Amino acid sequence: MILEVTDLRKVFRGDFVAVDGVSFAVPVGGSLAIVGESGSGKTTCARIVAGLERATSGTIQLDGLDVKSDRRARARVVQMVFQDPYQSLDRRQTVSACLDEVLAFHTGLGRAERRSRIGELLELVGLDQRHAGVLPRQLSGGQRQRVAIARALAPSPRLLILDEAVAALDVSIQAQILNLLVDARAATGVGYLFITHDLSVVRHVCDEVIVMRRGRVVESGAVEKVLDAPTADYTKKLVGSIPRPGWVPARGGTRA
Amino acid sequence: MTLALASPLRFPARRLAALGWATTVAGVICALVVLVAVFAPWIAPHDPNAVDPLNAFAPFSAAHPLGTDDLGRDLLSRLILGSRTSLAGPLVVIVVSGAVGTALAVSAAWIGGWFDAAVSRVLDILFAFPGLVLAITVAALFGAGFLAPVVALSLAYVPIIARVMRAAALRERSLPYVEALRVQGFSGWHICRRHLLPNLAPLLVVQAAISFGYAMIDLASISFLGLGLQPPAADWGLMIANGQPSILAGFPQQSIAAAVAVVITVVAFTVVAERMAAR
Repeated sequence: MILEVTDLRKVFRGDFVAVDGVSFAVPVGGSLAIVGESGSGKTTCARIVAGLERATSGTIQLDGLDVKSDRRARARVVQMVFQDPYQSLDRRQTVSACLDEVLAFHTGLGRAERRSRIGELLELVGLDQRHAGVLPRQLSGGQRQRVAIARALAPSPRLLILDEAVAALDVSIQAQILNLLVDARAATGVGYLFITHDLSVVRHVCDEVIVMRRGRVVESGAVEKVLDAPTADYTKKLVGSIPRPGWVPARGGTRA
Repeated sequence: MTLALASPLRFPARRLAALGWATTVAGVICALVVLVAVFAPWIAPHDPNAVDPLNAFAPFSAAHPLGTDDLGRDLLSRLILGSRTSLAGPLVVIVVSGAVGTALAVSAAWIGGWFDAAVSRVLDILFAFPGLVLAITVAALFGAGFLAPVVALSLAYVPIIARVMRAAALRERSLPYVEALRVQGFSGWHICRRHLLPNLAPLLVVQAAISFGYAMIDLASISFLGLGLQPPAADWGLMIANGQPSILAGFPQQSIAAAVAVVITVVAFTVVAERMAAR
């Protein structure tokens, strides 16, 4: 297991329980989706795994290590891609400067080696040398998210957290980024923790899924099993609310 | 996939036109004032301290374009030499208060918690104290001259810069790219120095430029009150004060010339700063 979370609890400001005894695991090179509506605690789980929040209780094992080790060592195991591609890059930094900063920090590569590594990373996410010298504002949302993915993959992490990473993109770009994620996983063997409210994108990228509601896991299992034959009422509702061909956007439209 | 190209080249002339005539004129005046200050000893037609009592209160002439003062010193030369201290004072004030204010603001915004609360309260207290009063007090305690009022005013301008920069630093800090850098494992020092500060720099420049005008007026006021530079130094605030008795004698040139120099410089710097702020 690259990630093992056991009995995770997060209480905000003394009384609000955001995450209430959640356990899940991601195998090496595996892909786990956490789905749920807004406020279900899925993003809090991701932020705790990434080290942006501290758990109230519970244990997190990354690569068999306890995560209280230093941030730099942790960053080489787990990386994160954020929802908002417009603000998750420093607006003053060119694409190559952004990647170079990370490579210089995490690898012992010399200048020339870093340069060729930047080329490889850009190629991995479907960009090329033309994009290396430009600023984020000169790129589209999809291109920026590609840069964010390249930056996250730069330290060669074993686990990538994708926090609603395609939610801010329009549908055709979403499909491109999802394909990119499938290809990147095949190419690098990185595992995914895929946080989303959108069940329709889960099947494409993930092997397993847990469904969260109000800080608890209501259902978990293989993606096909959970999406095709949901057992929990909440999961049935979620699956039923995916728009599909023949869906009538009116009251009482087709139900699963 | 198409790549958005950099905006097409803009010609300088069109760029100037886009700025508007007021900003252009103000910019040219700023540049001129700075050039005059830098090259003052070579531009001044006479020795600014050469006394010629027989030629006191000389009217406008080719030899003395602005006339002479009560001691027969050439007013134009004194105005030109005076630009040096009159610009250097506010410059030191904005550099010192800009550096101290920004360092306080960014560290308060980054560290947060009790440190932010403590810094903010100290700044509030300092803010409640009028800068001019502080400068006058310090000058009275430590003696008049160039340094004491400039140091006091630098201190007084720290909260003005720090308040704006803290708000901006808090906003910047909340942007997702800062969290992305934290997940990358970068230290707070690295993120502040390499990302927050460069992104805050344009705002700091604007704030400093706006404060420059205010600092200039404050320092001229201190000189006018006799707590700044002492005679026979050439300084615009001091010239306004020195010219005061002569106004009653019917020779207002000295005060008017120095006052006009202060007003034009302050307005020019402020117009340019406001224009930068609007972008």
